[in-house]
Order: sequence, then C-alpha cells, then structure tokens
Amino acid sequence: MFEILKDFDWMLFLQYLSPMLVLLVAAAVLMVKSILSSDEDELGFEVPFAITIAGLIASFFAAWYFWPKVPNAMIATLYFDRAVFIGWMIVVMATLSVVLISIDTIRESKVTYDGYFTLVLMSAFGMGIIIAAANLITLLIGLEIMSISLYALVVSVRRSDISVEAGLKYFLMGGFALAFFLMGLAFIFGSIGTCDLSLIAQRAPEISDVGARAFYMFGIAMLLIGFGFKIAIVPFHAWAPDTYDGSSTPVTTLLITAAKVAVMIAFMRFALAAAGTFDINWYYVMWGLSAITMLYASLAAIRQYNLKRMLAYSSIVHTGFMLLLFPSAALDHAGVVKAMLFYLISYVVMNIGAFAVISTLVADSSGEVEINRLAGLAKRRPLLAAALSLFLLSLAGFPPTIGFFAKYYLFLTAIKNGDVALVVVAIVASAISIYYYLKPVVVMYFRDETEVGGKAPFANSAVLHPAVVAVLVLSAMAVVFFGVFPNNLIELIRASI
Amino acid sequence: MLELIYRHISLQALIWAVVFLPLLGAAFNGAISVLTAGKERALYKQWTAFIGCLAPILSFLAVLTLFFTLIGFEAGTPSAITGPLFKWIVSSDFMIDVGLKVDQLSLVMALMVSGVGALIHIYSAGYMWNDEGFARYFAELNLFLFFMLLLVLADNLVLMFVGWEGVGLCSYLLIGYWFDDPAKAKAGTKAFIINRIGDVCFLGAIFLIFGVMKASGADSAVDIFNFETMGRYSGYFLPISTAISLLLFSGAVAKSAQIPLHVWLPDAMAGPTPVSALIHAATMVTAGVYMIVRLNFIFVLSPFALSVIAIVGTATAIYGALLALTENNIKRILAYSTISQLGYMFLAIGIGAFSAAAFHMIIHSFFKALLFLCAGSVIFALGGEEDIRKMGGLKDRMPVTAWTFMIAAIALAGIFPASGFFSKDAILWQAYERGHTLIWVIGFLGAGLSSFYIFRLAGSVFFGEPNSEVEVYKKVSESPISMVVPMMLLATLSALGGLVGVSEIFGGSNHLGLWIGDLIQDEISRAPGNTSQGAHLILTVITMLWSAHFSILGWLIYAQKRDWPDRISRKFSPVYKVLVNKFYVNEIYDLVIIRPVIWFSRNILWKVFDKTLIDGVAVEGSSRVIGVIGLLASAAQSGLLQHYLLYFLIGAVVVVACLAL
Repeated sequence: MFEILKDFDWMLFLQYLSPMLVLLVAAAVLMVKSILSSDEDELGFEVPFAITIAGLIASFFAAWYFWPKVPNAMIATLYFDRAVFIGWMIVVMATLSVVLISIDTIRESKVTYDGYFTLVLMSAFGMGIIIAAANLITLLIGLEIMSISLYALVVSVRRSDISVEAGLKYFLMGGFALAFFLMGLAFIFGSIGTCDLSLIAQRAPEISDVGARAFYMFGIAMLLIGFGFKIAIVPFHAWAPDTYDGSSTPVTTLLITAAKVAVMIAFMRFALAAAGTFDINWYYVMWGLSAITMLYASLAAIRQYNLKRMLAYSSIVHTGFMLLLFPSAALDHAGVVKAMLFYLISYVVMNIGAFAVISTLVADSSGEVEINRLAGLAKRRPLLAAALSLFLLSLAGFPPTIGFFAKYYLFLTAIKNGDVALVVVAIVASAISIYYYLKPVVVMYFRDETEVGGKAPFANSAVLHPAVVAVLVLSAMAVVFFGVFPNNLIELIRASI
Repeated sequence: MLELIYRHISLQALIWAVVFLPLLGAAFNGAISVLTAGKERALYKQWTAFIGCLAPILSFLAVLTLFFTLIGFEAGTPSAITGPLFKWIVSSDFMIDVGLKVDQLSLVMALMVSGVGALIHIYSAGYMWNDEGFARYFAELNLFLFFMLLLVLADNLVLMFVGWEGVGLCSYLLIGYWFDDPAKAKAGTKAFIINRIGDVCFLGAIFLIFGVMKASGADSAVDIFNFETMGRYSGYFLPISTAISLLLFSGAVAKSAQIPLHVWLPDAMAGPTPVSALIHAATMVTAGVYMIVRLNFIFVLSPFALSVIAIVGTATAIYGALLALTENNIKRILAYSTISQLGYMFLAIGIGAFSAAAFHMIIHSFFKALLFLCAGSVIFALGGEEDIRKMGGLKDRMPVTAWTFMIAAIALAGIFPASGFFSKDAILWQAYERGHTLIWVIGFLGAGLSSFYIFRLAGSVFFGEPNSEVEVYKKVSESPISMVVPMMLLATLSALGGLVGVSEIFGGSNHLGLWIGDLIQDEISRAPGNTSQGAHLILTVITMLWSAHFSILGWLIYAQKRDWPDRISRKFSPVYKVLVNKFYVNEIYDLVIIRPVIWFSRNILWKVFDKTLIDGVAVEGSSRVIGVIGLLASAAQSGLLQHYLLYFLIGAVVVVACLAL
C-alpha cells in the first residue's frame, strides 16, 4: 500500500487538483461559518454568496491556468489530462450560473444561505472527482459526494411539498441504482482483479475463461444500469421528470446541466475503457438504449403542457442523442470525445439559458410553468421572449445556433462510425422535437394573453436580477457566437484530446 | 495624400471598410427602423438620411483611394488581397476563407457600384422623404450595397454566392417595399422565386467545381474555391466545363433577366424608382455578367457553352428592344431596355469579348441609372403617373431632368461622343472582327431599335404637347436639389465615361479594355487586332448613322406626329399585337408550365398525395400514433415509485440478459 506513495509527488497532485480543492475549501469555510454564527440572519446573504462566487471563479481560473500544463497522466487514481480540465470548466461554469440565477429563489425558500451554498459547492466538488476518476472506486466516491448533496438540495430548496416528494423519489431510486453500481464493481473486481480503468482496458480483452468473462460482462451490465440511472436513460429515467419538475428551478438546472455532464464524461471514459472493445452485445444494447431513449422521451415531451417538465423530457432526449456515440465508441476514441465535449458544452449553455428564463418566470408567479401562460410574452417582454426562443431553437438544433453544430458533429461522428440507422432514428427524434420546442415560441409570439384561460400570464412585472441578466446575455452570446464560429470551440476541444 | 491615408489605416483594413461601412449603415438604420416602429419618425429622418448616405459615400471614397493606390503599382499586377479575415468553414478535407480581393475587374466594378450607389442613396433621400418607412428603406438599401460589394470583392466563389443570395434577398425586400399592395408584394415574390431557379443552377455548378477541385489534387489546406486557386487548376475543368459553364450561365440568366427567365424584371418595377435604378438597372442585374467575366477561365474551355451564351444574349438583345417599342409604362420601357442591353453584354461574352462586356456593363450602369433617376423625377413631379401617353412637354417645366435624360438617351442610342457609343461599338466591332456576322447584323438592328424606343420615350415625355391634365401640368416643377445633383453627376459620367475606353481608331488606347484584359486568358493570347482599322471605322460610322437616324425618327414621330403610330399599328395590327403582348411569353408560360403544374398540383399532388396520403395517413395518422404513444408515456409516468422501480427492474433484466448471457 505505502509502496505506491513512495515516489508520489504530493505537490504536483495538489497543484493539479487545486481547482477542486478551492471548492472544497470554500465549502469548508461556509460550514465553519455556519457553526460559528448562531443567528443565521446576522451576516445575511452577501457573505456566503461572495465566498461561493469567489470559490467558483478561483476554481475556474485555476482550471484555465493549469489546462495547458497538465501532464496527461494518472496520479493516485485521478486522471489529469486536458479533457478533465475542460470538464471541470464546464461544471464550474454551470454551477456558477446556477448560483447566479438562484438568488431570488433561495431568498424565498426556507433553506439557510450557508447550507445551500455549501451543498452546491460540495456537489460541484463531487462532480469534479467523477470527471477525473481513473478508478471505479474513486468514481463511486465522487458519485456519492455529488448525489448526497443533490438529494439534500432537492429537498431543502423547496417551494412546496412537491419538492420533498421529488427528493424522496430521487433518493430512493438513487439508492436502488447504487446497489447495482456496487454490485457491478464487485463483479468486475472479482473477474479481473482491478478497478483501475486503464488496467481494465488492458486486461478485459484478454479474458479467456468463459466464466470470468460472463462475470465481467455481468459487472459491465450492472455498471451500465448504475450510470443509466444517473444520466436518465430510458427505462431507468422514471425519476427524472418528477424530480426535475418538482425541484426548484436552480436545483433543476444543476441536476440537468452540471450533474449530467459530470456523469456523462465518466460514463464515456468507462465505455471507452471497459466496454465495446470486443463485445458485439455492447453494440446492440447501447443501440437499443439510445434509440428507445430518444424516441420515448420525444414522444412523452410532446404531451407536456408544463415548460419545465417538457425541458426535463428534452434533457432525456439529449441524453439519447449523446448515446448515439456509444455503440461504436471503440472505433474512434478521439472523434467520440471531441463530439461529446462539444455536445456537452452546447447542451449546458442552452439549458442554462432556458432555465434562467424560467427562473425569472417562476420568481414572478408561483406554481407550474404552464406553456399557455407564456401567451403574449413577446409583446410584454420582447427581449425575454426572444431569449427563450433562441435557446429553444438552439435546443431543437436550428442553425446558426450552437445546438445545430453540436448535433452536426454528433451525427457526423456516428455516421463515420457506421451507425447510419441510429442517426436516422435520431433525425426522426429531432423532427419530433421541433414540435415541442416550437410550441412555446408559437404561444409567446402568436397568442394573445387573453387566451391563457383564466390564469394570469407570466412575467408582467418581474424585474430581472442583474445576475440573471448576466447569465442570459452570456449564454445567448455563446449560443450565437459558437453557432456562427464553431471552429473556436472545436479547436479548443481538439487541443484537449 | 495616399501616404497620409496609409499612415492611419492599412490597405487591408481599407478594403474591409469598403464592404462593412454599408453594413454599419444598414445596422444603424435597421435599429432606428425597429426602435421607432409606430412612433413619430420625423425626428429620426435627418439621422437616417445622413448615415444612410454617408456610409456609401465613405465606401466610395475608400474604393477611390484603392484605385489610386493600385494604378500606382508599377511592377506586377495591380491587385491586392486582404487575406483571410477568418476561416469560415473548416472541415477535415476542405476549408473556405472569408477574404476579399481587389484586382482590375473587381476594382472597376466596385467603383461603379459604390459610386452609382452613393449617388442613388443621395437621390433616395429626396425621393423617399415623405415615405412612412424611410429608415427601413435605407436599411435595406444599405444592406443591398453591402451584399453587392461583397459579391464584387469576394475572393472565393462561395463568398461570392453569399453576396449573390444577399442581393437577391434585398431585391425581394425592396421590390415588395410597399407590401401593403398585394400586386407589389407578388412582384417581389415572383422575382425571388425565378431567381431561386438560377440559384439552384449556381449551387449545382459550385458542387461540380468542388468535385473538380477535389479531383485536381489541390492542397486541401487552402481555400479551393479561391478564384486564384481555381484559375491555377483551370485545366482540370476541361472535361465538364460545358456542364459547369451552362449551370453558371443559368444562374446568370435568372439574375440578369435573360430569355427565358426575364419575366421578373418588368414586374420588379413595382419597387421605388431609385431601387429600380440601383438594383434592377445598374448593379444587381449585371452581377451575372460580372460572375461570368470573373470565371472566364472556365467558360473559355467550352466553345459550346459560349455559343449558347451568344445565342441567348443576341436573342434577348433584340427581344427586349422589340418589347420596349410598344410598352407605355415609362419604367417598364426602361426595364425592357435593361434586358436588351444585358443581352448585348452576354452577346459579347458569348463571342469571347469579356472585357468589352465589362466595359459596356460599367457604361450601361451610368446611363441606365440616370434614365431611371430621370424617370423617377418625372414620376415624382407628376404624383405617381407612369403612363407616357399622359405626359409630354415636360422640358419646359423640368429642364434639368429633360436635358440629363437626353444625354442618357444619346448614350443609350450610341451616338458619338456619348459614352454608350464607345462601349456598344466595342461589342459590335468584336462581333464583326471575330467573324460572327449574323450576330453583328442582329446587334446592328437592335442598336437601331434601341435608338428608336428611347427617343420615342424622350419625345413623348419631354417634348410636344402636354397630354397630362392642365392642373397637374401647371403644378409640375423641378425636383429637389438632392435629386437633381446626382442626376447631373451621372449625366457627366454618361457623357464622358466612354473616354476610359476610346478605341484605337479614334486615337484612344482603350485603357479599360486593356486593363481588364490582363485578367482574361483568352484575350491575353489574342494579339490586338490593328489589321483592319479602316473596316472598323467604316462600320462604326455606319452604325452611328443608323442609330442617329432612328433616334431622330423616334423623336420626330413621338414629339410631333403622335397620330402616326396609331395608324401604323392599325396597319400592322398582327405584329403589333404580338409585341404588345410581349410575344405572349407570360401566356405561354401560363399555358405550358403554370396551368399544368397547377392542375398536377391540385389533382394529383394535393388531392391524392397531400389530402389522402400525407394529411390523412402520414400527418394525421402519425400524429394520432404519436398522440397514443404520448398518452401511454404520460400514463406510465404515474408518480408512483413502485411503478418506476418496476420499469427500472425490467430494464435491468433486459440489459443484463443481453450483455451477460
């Protein structure tokens, strides 16, 4: 055990881990502060907010600073390569946006500021570990750090008891899925004697014993189910619409963007390392999961009258799109990573934009975000309506938005790997998606507010918080800028593989 | 002076400024138009007019600076490139830059576009002053100028295509500028749709060129659509040069209103008159000619395609002139005249005289823009009247308009020493010298007809007895100064512009032709023909006398003896009818294409495919199926945890069974 630590460079390790350690330190400071200050209102909102923002910004710049310097090596069960740092930057930016759009929401909810920000920072730390994990056990620890924070967040930032129900469902099913994950881990360790991803990648193709091979595949299947729960693959998705809809908007945003990105990156690493290299069944299973996830969630999204729930299903559809890359992932590692990172960045940017709009709508009027109540928004709040339309169009993949190029590169990579039939399915799903993404746009622009049907229309008087405006402007700019000049982003990603 | 400019701005930045200044103007005016929607606009008008005119003027000054810079290049070719501003499209095996190129051809064209454009912008400020959508008008006009300059200055085919599509869009917007009137909105749509046909062909040509350039083994790290790169590999185009040339030419046919896709141009006169002058006479419609001259290295490889171009051009030249004879709407006469003159340019291209085509393109833009501006001035003064039978005698009320119009008419008729004389002479002489006698004869006849119809117009509008109502005639007065000044400047250009290309027989040295000729491979290889100066001189004098004769005839008949034409038309009523009905082209289209298409669409496509199959089975059927599945999906989302766990478990069993067993 200690043999490993002998020639282990602690300074280097801490240096490269510093983007995540900063988050941990900020969380710790907040925790200590909440213990020391007996009366929570004494210091109020500003101090924890400032600490959180400072921690996240410092973390981002640390990641930015070390990105060109990383050694592309594994140190103590964590990978440090550029893709990891890109993942960290995505997660940190997403978390930062969530913090910025949550100011109004947490003021109204019952959560303490210290507690809320601690949980957000801890979950971001967990996501960082998930992204960098080079070992299934480290991955498991990261997953748990993230998940436990998220369970607590879903329940504590609540606007009604729906949030409690949402949190409980998430927690119970999360526990169920964790059992599968652990079981899979055990089987894999049992069959080839390691949990290290790179060693698994080396040894797995050489398993000759039939029994060991069955054990190994059983472990892969179990881990796949565990991952499938976290990123909401149909049929392990059932918690997702309820939880996404029931949580308060900032928490939903965190779940949909940062959490999904982190687990997706880990899943991709796992798939590239441990599966698909030699087994044809992997191809069929991933093919089927991808197709059913895209189609089922698209069809379900059509029926939704609640914008948030619709976006919940849309996020599942996007998971399905990302799964396009997995059946033949082993054929083209670099291409898969490139397309995936581009897609994840675009996915995060447009979802954050859309949810930032929703957070202002909900802050203005309580209750469900019914699409009907958007009627006439284009007249009352032209800029807000335009922003929401932009993000929805990008989600649907219209050029010239980032969503178009994300889909383009994704489909292109899949076609290059020979999965043409699956891309056809994806195009059908995209065609269906136009219907439900355009519905809110049509309602905003072409329906009068008198047609809402008894309920008050949204956002008559909401004053946009400057922080929310900043998030909206930045994400809208990113959506358009990278939609017109995708090369900048592609070059960045290409330099990271 | 030049040093002073280049101390502050680089050559590249100056080239970019040419293109982007109008875009800034468009953005500014667009913003004003959007922000002041539904409000009192008078306050903003000065700003709109100021910025809207300043941008083209600055752009023109920038081009002028470039011109003086480039003619100062003593060694080497007078050209400058900006290099890529950025890489626009990058794929693993090809890339497209965004870059501009100034060389002899694009420089001359840009001078004309920005110069005429600036004048027409100034004219528009007066002409459109009382219009509701003043800012929208200037936004669209500035945007047009941006796209046109992009088209002209682009250094690669795809960027040129962007400009090509952009001018088409602006043309559509401006034809349908008064979109409240369904007829005008429809005219815009017609122009747009017919241009789509050409655009499809252009795109097809781009695809073929892509295929050729890929096969040629050009370095994929450079922009293979760059004109220079394409020129270097031009030999590879030989096997399919006919297909590429004909496709490109089809694009040009639609854009430049040649037979059989000319029908949109007369209808395009529904737009404001300055728009007709700028877009549908001087600049956009000549884009087809420009594109072919630019890509001459492909066209010269295919003699067959060149013959097709020559035939279409000649036919259009005579056809447009014939139609102009019997038309009574002042703007439509000029539209047919434009069609006819564009035919002359294509004729020149078809016989290989690219630089003559470019020369005529420039000169034509001067006098045709002026003719339109004068027509606009007349329409403005008469409060919207466009029928020449209700005009007459206007020279006493609006002398500047009348005499500038006369200068332009002399130029169009090709009478010495106005500019049109030299450019038309260049084309006809080249046709004769290269042995295309039949083309020369038809062009010669067309020249007579051109003289006749334009002096018919001049005679009936500005001379003779006034045919308008007395009160109207009394109120007529000269147009405001902002309209008159551009007209006078254009009149100067129309009168003297030909001096840039005076041919050898008149002691000139054909500066423009030689300058542009450097770019054209076919003409480089031809030795300048000094052999038959005598023949050239004789033909030129004959042509001029012929034109002058018809000019005087037209002027006499329509200024003095207005009852003659009626008698003549009664005598030749079958011929006259054919002409009045524009050779029944619209009717033939209606019978041969539109009605069968409508019948097919209605009975087969709509009733069978659309209503039954698509609506009934596909749309409603699929929406029903989707609805049912969606219903099931939302029923499955029961909210009950036990159900969710059940789905989870079923999924887990299936996954494990597939993977591990």
